[in-house]
Amino acid sequence: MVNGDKEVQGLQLPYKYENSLLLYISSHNCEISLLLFVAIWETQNTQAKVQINLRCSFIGSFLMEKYELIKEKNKRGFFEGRSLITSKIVTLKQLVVHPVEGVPASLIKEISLLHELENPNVIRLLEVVNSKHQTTMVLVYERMEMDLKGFMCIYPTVMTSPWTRKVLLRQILNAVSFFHSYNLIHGKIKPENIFVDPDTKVLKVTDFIWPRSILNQDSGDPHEDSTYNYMAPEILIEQKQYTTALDVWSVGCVFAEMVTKTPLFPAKTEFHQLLKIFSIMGTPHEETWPGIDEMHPHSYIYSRSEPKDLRELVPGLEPAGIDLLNIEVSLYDDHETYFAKVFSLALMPNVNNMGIFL
Amino acid sequence: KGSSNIHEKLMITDIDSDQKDPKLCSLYASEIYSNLRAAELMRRPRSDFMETVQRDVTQSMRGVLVDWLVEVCEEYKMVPDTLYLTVYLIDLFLSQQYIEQQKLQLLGITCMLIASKYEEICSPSVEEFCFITDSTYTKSEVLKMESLVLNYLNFQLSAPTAKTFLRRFLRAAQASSQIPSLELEFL
Repeated sequence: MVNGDKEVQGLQLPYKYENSLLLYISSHNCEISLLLFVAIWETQNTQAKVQINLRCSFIGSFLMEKYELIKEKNKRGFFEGRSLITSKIVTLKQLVVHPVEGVPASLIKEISLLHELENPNVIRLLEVVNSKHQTTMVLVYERMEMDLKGFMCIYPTVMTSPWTRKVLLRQILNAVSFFHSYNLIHGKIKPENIFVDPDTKVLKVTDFIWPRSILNQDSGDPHEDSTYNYMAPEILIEQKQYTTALDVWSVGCVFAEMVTKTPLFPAKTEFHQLLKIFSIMGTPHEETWPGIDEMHPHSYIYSRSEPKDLRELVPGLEPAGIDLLNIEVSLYDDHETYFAKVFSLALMPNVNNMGIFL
Repeated sequence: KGSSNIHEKLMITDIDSDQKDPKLCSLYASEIYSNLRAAELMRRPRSDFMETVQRDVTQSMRGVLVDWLVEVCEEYKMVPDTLYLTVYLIDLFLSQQYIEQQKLQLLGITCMLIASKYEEICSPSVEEFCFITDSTYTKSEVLKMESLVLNYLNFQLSAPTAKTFLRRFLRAAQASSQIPSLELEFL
């Protein structure tokens, strides 16, 4: 079954994975053991059809001494597991070390940043487990319950409360201004990267592949991401220098989505994304965005449109929220747009006194 | 407001007063640098590792290694931050772990490999790093060393170097941005 020639030593069926079975096959002569997701489709007849899903995941058997797996979390290689020592629920992410190039650059960055960043609203990396021959690594994070996207789907009524939205927004801003004070731009703030605990409403920001230094911007390329919906226009028009305004923009997009449940600027490609943004915020020209002609000489290709009223696009948001959103997603504004800190301090000082953690 | 009064009384220019240029990030600047200073104090290589930890390697060998790494950095057109981080990683490793003379160059290129993965958009491949040592070390030796170094340092690479602070000092000295690299040459 495994490579044909390797002897399969043990076959256990310890984990049930929703409607499929998780086979855990360990083999002594290979360091990694193999988890197969065997989806079983019940047919009308008695015979069950077994189809082996080729999306197999390798999970190191070295991990089995410390953690037990509960289930696969999503298709991005995340697993939910339980520590055998503390019996706490954790999130596991497995990465294979490249046989030629060694530890991936993104991993080096992520781990070293997570060691440094300690904040209640930033995901914590508990440990890095190495396999004996350094072929695979597993990152152990604290539990990520549910991402904001899922949270909005599963608890639509909770999200209608302005209080919940304020509590969540405040925490996102807290995390973002924390990054900025560490000389980092997160760059990928989006609902999929924000995790929420449904009971306590504690929010954690994740994903540290992109971040770069604010003051020294020689590194990184932001275009590797496929979700453009939360991307600030200055990335889309390929500005070379980024500012902290980039994150504030993304926070604004997430904020609007918390109210309406759909992205504020939905689009599939980079080009359409800019079109969408300009159709709502107005096509920029030298008066509304000084320097735009130089940055984006082809801006004449976009049809001229006037800014729309966000009150109509984001119904149900109170006037103060509209004002805030307007500043967050403004194409060009005074310096205050750049600072998540300003928002997180000025915004909703009463939220702090409502028995919440910050 | 309080701070600007102090600045006026002491006739010191507040270098964070320019809030119009977002790249200078003036609102965060003092916070960023106090965080950097704290990080610097926490993870500083020992100053006496040559005498206490190392027996085989000497100061002059480290000097030769660093000189060579400067050349490698220029050869592959890497950013100066990579070089500074490389030297920091070497010192940090040497303050924790005894290393043989023959392995010093291996440590050097491995630290440069790690630093370039951290800092560069497109880091040179492992093969290129082996090539530049005149194939003294094999790719698998470098990879083994890489995981060794990463584990010893516990993946804590984001440390401020002299270069990090130089930017701020230059600004404090009101250096013109037209001739920024002259000072950097001396470091």
